Amino acid sequence: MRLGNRIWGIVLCAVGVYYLIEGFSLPPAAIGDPLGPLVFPTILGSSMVACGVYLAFRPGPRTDQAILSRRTFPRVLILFALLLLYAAAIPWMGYLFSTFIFILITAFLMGERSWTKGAMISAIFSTAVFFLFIRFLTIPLPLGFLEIFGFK
Amino acid sequence: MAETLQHLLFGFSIALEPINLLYAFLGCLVGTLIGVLPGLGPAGGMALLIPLIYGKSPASAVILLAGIYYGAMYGGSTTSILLNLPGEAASVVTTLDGYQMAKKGRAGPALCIAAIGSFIAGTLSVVFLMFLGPPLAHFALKFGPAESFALMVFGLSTVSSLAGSSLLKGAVATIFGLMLATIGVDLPTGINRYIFGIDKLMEGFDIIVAAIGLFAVSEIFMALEEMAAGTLEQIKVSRIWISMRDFLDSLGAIIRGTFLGFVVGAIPGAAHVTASFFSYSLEKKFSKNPENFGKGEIRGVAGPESANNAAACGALLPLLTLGLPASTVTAVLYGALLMVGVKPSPFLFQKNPEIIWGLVASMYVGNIMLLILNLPLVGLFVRILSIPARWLLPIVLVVAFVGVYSVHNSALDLVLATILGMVGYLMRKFDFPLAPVILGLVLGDLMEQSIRQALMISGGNPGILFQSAIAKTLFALAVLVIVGPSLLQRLRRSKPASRSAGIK
Repeated sequence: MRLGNRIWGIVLCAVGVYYLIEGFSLPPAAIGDPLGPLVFPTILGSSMVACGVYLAFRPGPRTDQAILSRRTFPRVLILFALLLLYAAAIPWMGYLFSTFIFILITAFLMGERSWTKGAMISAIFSTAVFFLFIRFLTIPLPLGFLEIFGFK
Repeated sequence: MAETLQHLLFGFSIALEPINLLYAFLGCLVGTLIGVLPGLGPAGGMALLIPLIYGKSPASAVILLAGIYYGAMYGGSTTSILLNLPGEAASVVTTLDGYQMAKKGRAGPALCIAAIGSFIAGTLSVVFLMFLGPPLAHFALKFGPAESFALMVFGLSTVSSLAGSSLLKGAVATIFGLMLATIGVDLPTGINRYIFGIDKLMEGFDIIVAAIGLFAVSEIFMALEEMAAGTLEQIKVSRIWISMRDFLDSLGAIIRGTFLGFVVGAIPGAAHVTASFFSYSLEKKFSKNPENFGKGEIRGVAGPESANNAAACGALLPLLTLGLPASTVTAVLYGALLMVGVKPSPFLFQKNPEIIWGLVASMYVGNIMLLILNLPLVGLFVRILSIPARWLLPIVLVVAFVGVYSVHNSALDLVLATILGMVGYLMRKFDFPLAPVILGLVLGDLMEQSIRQALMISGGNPGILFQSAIAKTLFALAVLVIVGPSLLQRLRRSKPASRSAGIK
């Protein structure tokens, strides 16, 4: 864990320093306010740096085992990328279609093996979610391609 | 008092009319559905359905809204327990032990105690309203900015009980949450902070987006990894109903949570999120075996769930006695009452007590209806867990995304939730606790506002923070919460004949 802690210490310091720099580049407050918009961020940023330094140099037991496994972490990254793509696709493709594709691909990533079964289940769920939340509870999610087919 | 009781009975006679019972039922049903969808919390759900109450009598309107409210709260707890998907900020605490119970096959008891705890909290709250109402409202009025700041500091001190193995990591998580809270427009000066040129961030970082990202999305990353490593086990449901022992175990937590929640709820601005965090902290600090918390301790579900519900009743106090909507939920209720021709004001208690007690009775009927409706549904909800993980997890993500999107109607929030999911995953891997991030995010805004207001009032003199007795007490309590347990341990250890000496 020692190595992990050292890396985290550095990461936290970096976050704190960046947060402080970003804070100090704010324009000064125009209205009289004993505690400007900067004081709170300054406290937070410097405490973060302090925590980071302490974490990096704190003595700890040395068990340099890898916490992120080389075998499984890539899959997590794939799902992360899929989610970002899904988020980007929703405004463009619309919720229904992007959801259908997302469920299908993710289920395969998680071990589904049959395409026909996958497509069917995915279609059922995406339509069910669509009708329940968008039609019935009228949550304004983008319709995307559906608008071409005359849905409103 | 006899007069009050009479008004209350009259209120019940209206609330129990068949048509109103039907409204309560419908409200609970729709509310549960809304609550299951993360993002749309009780306040959002009530606001969404306000058009439905148009033209109804005040009692019917309130009953319908109360049903939606209780249903939505319970729906939020359901997804927290079953899927680690907190539907609103107050349910974040429920995930800590509720989801662990579900993983051990005890989802049924967890759901039962959430419903029963809410019900008991609702019942006791009505009694509290009768006896404590007016005096407590005046106590709540004493909370100026300085006292609010002290309360927030006290709130932050509860981190020490959420922190898990290392207090330092808990502190880091809290600071991270507080940092997220500073994103957006700074209200007193109008300056944009930390928006990185993205206009949509001006509105600030929404708690729901953070909660869903940190808890639900990261949970799915973890599950995917376990799946790839072949260690993910299908959850087995051992029993659906709660045992008498579980119930008796949690009864104390329910009563403590109710009282705490009611008082905190009455304080304007403190909100029920704080109440549920307080209750969790209290239960853990005073438990005989605090190491069970976070591993599926039923008291960790019972206490916060009851506190949450009681806080909702407590929040009615400032509304009814002073005409002040102190939380988003009561603000929606205020609007609804205006719509049906009732104006909450300081004179309502004297002039139209029947409206107040009618309202209380209506809320209560919603509470009972929830219990009747949802206890039988527990078995059905629990069955969700038997869906194979490769289908359940994508569907959870899809539903979570609807909730995140509905907060600001923006796809940017989806990206933020995904990124926070990754952050949450890494934090879990390296043993950082997640709940303090949410606590920091909730309290950060209020804390900064209150300290700045206090200093504006005093012209920059920090002495104002320590002037009142309430503030002093709260600061002292905060110190006690952090230092107390370790002092207690040291005291025990110094006694040679102590029983606990042999354990460690």
